[in-house]
Amino acid sequence: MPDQIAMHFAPVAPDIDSLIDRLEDFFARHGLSTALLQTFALAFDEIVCNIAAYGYPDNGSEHGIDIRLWLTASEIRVEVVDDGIPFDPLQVADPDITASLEEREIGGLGIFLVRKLMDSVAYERRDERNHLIFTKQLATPAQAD
Amino acid sequence: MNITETLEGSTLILALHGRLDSTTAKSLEDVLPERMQVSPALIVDLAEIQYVSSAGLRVILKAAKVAKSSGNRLVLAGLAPQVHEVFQVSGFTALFNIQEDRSQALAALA
Repeated sequence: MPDQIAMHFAPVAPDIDSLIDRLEDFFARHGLSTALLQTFALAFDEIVCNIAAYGYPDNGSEHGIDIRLWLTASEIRVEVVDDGIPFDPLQVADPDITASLEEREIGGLGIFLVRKLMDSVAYERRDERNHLIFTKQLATPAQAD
Repeated sequence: MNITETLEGSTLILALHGRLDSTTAKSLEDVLPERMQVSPALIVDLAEIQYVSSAGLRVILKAAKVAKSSGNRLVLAGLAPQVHEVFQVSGFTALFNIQEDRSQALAALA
């Protein structure tokens, strides 16, 4: 069975720290760069926190949040599945990243960063669950490392 | 994440070690805005930070707003390339004085 990370979280106070620990081990094991680690650690932090904060307004969950990360020949792929309220992160408006310091707000920045740092992000609502898949190419010619 | 505080002359240096994310941002928020309010010059040294997420950026932005309103000076130093990229994509490189390392940050404040 190919090496992967698969974890399940309750939507209340998910233990993201242990996920980042697993991620660090996995990336070290596969010789993946610290730049890739930054990108995926950030993505997990933003996405899982967001689901925990907004996905379950009634605090009710039968399934919680499942995450999986694995390698293909050319890319790192992540799937995040949750049974919270429908939420498509691709529909969130971009923050104004040119606003002055006084007017600058942080809302929406996390999801914006995920969209910018990943090569692809896809969303689907299926079987009453949110499915988010994001990928990043390995060793693209333009990789600035 | 650990925070080490050092005073160099009248400049306070906060060196952060570890991860600056949703799990750890609160421990920085307990210290940084308060120190920023009372320190004429403050350096946040990120050389030992492996990664940041928006929860960490939020606290650093808060410190910048405190610096602006108090007239105190804030400099960030030692951003690893992958951390710098996040600052860049966020538009934060336009909002902050960012220096290569601690000694250059001290020079910028001199």
